[in-house]
Amino acid sequence: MKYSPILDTTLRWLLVLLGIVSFFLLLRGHDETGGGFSGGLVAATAVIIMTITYGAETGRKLLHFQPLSYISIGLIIAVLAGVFNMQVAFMRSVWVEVPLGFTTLKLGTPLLFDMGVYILVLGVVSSFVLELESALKHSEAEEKGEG
Amino acid sequence: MMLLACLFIIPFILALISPFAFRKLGSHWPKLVSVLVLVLVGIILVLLQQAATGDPQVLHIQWIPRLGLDITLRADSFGLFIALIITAMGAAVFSYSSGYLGDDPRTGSIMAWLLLFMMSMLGIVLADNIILLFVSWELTSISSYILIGTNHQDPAARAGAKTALLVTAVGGLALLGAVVLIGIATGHWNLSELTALHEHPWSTAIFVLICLAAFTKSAQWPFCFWLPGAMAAPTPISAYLHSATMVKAGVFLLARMHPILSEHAAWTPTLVFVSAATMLVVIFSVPKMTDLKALLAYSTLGALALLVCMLGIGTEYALNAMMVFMLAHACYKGPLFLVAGSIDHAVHSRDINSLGGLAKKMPYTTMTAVMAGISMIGIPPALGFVAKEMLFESSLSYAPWLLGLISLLVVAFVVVASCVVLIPAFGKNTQLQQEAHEAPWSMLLPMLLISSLGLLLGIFLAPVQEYLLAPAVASLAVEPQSLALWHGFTLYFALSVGVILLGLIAYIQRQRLSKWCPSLPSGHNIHEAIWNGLIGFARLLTRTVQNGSLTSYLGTIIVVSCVLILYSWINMDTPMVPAIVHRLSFAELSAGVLIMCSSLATVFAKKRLPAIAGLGSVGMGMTLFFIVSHAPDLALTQFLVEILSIVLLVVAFRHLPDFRSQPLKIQTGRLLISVLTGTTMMALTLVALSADYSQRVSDWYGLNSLKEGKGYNVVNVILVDFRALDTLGEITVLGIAALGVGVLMGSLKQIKKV
Repeated sequence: MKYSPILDTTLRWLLVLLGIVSFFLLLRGHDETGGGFSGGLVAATAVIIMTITYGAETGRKLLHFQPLSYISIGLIIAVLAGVFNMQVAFMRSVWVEVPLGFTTLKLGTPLLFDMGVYILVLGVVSSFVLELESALKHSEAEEKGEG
Repeated sequence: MMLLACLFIIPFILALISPFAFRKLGSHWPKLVSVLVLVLVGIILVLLQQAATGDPQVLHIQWIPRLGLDITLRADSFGLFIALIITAMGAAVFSYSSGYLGDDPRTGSIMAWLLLFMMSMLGIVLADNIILLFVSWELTSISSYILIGTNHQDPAARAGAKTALLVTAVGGLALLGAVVLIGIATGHWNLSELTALHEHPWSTAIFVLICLAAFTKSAQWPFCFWLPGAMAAPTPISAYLHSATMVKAGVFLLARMHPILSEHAAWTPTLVFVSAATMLVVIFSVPKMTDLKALLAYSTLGALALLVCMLGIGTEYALNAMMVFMLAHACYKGPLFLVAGSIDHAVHSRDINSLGGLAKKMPYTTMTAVMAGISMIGIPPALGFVAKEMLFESSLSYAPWLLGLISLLVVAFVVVASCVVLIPAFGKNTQLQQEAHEAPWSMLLPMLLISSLGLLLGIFLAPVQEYLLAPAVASLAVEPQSLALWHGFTLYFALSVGVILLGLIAYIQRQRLSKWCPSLPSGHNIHEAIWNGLIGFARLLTRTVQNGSLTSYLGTIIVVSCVLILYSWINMDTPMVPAIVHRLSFAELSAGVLIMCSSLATVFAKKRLPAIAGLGSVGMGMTLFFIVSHAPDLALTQFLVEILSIVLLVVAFRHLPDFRSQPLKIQTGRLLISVLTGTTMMALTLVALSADYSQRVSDWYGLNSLKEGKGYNVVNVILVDFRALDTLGEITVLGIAALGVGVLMGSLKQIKKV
C-alpha cells in the first residue's frame, strides 16, 4: 500500500484515543452508558483499522497475542468472576468499596465479568477481521500467481 | 455375599491390569489368569453347595436410587450351573491362550476383553434385577464385537464383527423393550419376584421381544448367519464366546423366562419351529463345509437349536434333557474348537482336504479329539450318550417328525465329529504333516481335562445329577428326573446305533451329498440388503444436506426457521395488530423514512458498494430509533456493530463475484427467501408488540439495580449481574463463532492450495 503520512500520523493518535475510549466505556459501564461489550468493540476497531491499513500482520502485532488466546482468557475470567462467590451461588456478585478520598472506587465481580466480556469481544472481532483479511490476501496472491 | 461380589470384582481388576501385567510377565500372564479364574470356579462350587440347600445368596447394592436401579444378584442353582461352565471354560481358554497367542503383543488387550466378557456373562446368569441383566447382555455384545474383530486388518474379521454386533444389538434393543414391559406390567424388576405373565395383555409383545433377543443371541433361524461369520476371531475366542458361553445366553434367557411365559399359546410352536428351521439349515450346510471351524460352528448352531427346541417342548423331561445336553455340549464343543485351533497353530491350515496323518506328530491333541468326538457322537459312557437318548425321548413326546429331524441333526453331528477327529488325525499323509508339532502343555492340559470330563461325568452320573443338574432343574420350577447311563436295549438305543451308522455312511459319501443339499434361505441376504440400503440412504442424505455450498446451508437455515415461526404465528390466538398504538413523534417518523429509503436504495443498487452503504444507513436509522426511545446503551452497541459489519463487508466484497451476474433462477430464489424473512420478522415484531407486558419485571430491575447490583445503569447491571449467566452463554457462543470463522477461512486456504 502506498505510504500516506497523514494516515500514518493520525493513526498513532487514533489508536491511543480508541484505547482510552474503550477503557472508559468499560469502566463507566456499570453506572453510565457503556460496558464491556461496547468497550470491546471499540478496542477491536483499533485492530481493524491497523489491519485494513497495513495488513493482517500489523493487526496481529498490535494484538501481540493470538485472537484465540483473548477469547479463551476472556471466557476464563468471566467464569472465574462467576465462581468467586460460589459458596452462596454461581454468579452471585461481591462488591468492595475502596475509599480514595476524593471518590470511592467500586470493585466487584460484575466488573471482572465485564472485563472478561471486553477481552472476549476484542478477540472475537479481531479474529473475524484477521482471518478474513489473511484468507482473502491468500486467495488474491494465488490468483496473481496463476495469472 | 462377599463371595458373590468377588465373582465380579476379580475379573474386573484382572482386566484392568491385564495390559500392564502382560508387558511385565509376557506369556506367563494368561497362565496366571487361568489359575486365578480357577479360584472363581472354587467360589462357584461353594455357592452351589449353599444354593442346593435351598438358600441362594443374594447381593443387593443400591446403584442409582433416584431411578430405582439396583444391582441385585441372586446365585440360584441354574445361574450357578451356567456360571460354572463359564468360569471352567474360561480357565481352560486362558491357559490355552498362553500357548496359542505366545508373545503376540495384542495378548494383553485380548485377555482384558476376555475377562470383561466373562464378567458380563456372569452378570447375565447371576443377575436378579432385569435391568442389570440387560446391561450385562449388551456388555457381552460389545466385548464380543471387539474380540471377533481382533484381526482387524482382515476385512473378513471386520465384516464378521460388524454383522455380529448389528444382529446382537437388535436383540439387545428387543431385550430392553421386553425388560421395560415386564417391569411395568408386573411392577417387579427382579426375576425372583416375577410370576406367570401369560394372561397379561402385553404378554404377546413381551414374548415376541424376548424371542427376538434370544434368537439373535443364540443364532437361531433366520439370524443364524452371524455365528459362522464370527469364526474370523482367533480360535480361543471362538471356543469361548461362540461355542461355550455367549451363544448360550439366548438359551439361558428363554430358560429364565420359561416359568413366566411358557403358558403363552405361541411359546411351544414358535420355539419348536424356529429351532427346526435352524436344524434344517445345519443339516444341509454341514456336508458342504471343509473348514474345521466352520464345521464346528454349524454343529454349534445345531446344538443351540436342540436346546431351544427342548425349551419349546417344555415338558419336565425335555427341560431335564436340555440341562444334561447343555453340560455335555460344553464338555465336547469347547475342546473340539481348541483341537481345531491346535491343528491350525501347528500346520497353519484348517481345511480338511489338506489335513491328514497328524496322529503320530500330535498324539495328545488326537487323544483329546477322540474323547470329545466320542462325547459328541454319543457313545457310552459319555455324557453325550445320556443326553442324546433324552433328546430323542422328549422329541417323540412332542411329534414323530421332530424325532426324525433331530435324528438327522445327530447324523450331521456324527459327520462333523468324524471330519474333525478322523481326517486330520488318521487321514492320508500330506505335506503339511511334515512340519507338524505337538502343542505346548499350556494348551494340551485344559483340552485334555475338559474332554475327559465329558466321559467321566457320564460314568459318575449319580453325583453329577445330585449336586449339579437336579438343583439347577429344580430352580426352573421343574421336577428333576432320575438319570441313568444305561436304559437297556430300548427303541432309543436302536435309533442311537442307527443314527451313528447312518452318520458314518454320510461321512464317507459327504462329497456326493453336498451336491444334493440345497442352500436354504437365511436372513443373511435380508441383512445385507438392509445394510446396503442404509448406507446408500446415508450417502444420498449427506450429498443432499451436506452439499458443501454455504449459500444453500444458510438458505436452508433461514427458510426452516422462518417457516417454523410463521407456522406458529398462524396458529396463534393473539390478534395480529398490536394493542399499543401510539402516535409517532417527528424523530421516529424521520428515522422510519430513513430506514425505508435506505432499504429501497440497497435493493435497487446496481453496484455492491452503494448497496453496502444503503445497508449501513438502515442500521443508522435503527440507532436513531434507539436514541429516540431513550436507550443509549442499545444505540451505542448498535452503532458500533453497524460500523464493524460495514467494515467487514467492505473488506470482503471485492473478492465476491458480481452479485447482479447470477442467473435469474437463483436471483428469484433469493428474492423469495428475502421476502419470507422480511415477512417473518414483521410477524415476530407484531406478535412481540401485541404481547401483554406486565411491568413488574422491568420495575423490579429498576428498583433493585442500585440496591442489589450497585449500579446506576440498569441495562449493564442486568447484563453482568442479574442475567450474567445468559451473558456467559452468549459470549461462549461468540467464541465458538470465532472458532468457526477460523476453521472456515482456514479451509478456504486449503481449497485454494489444492
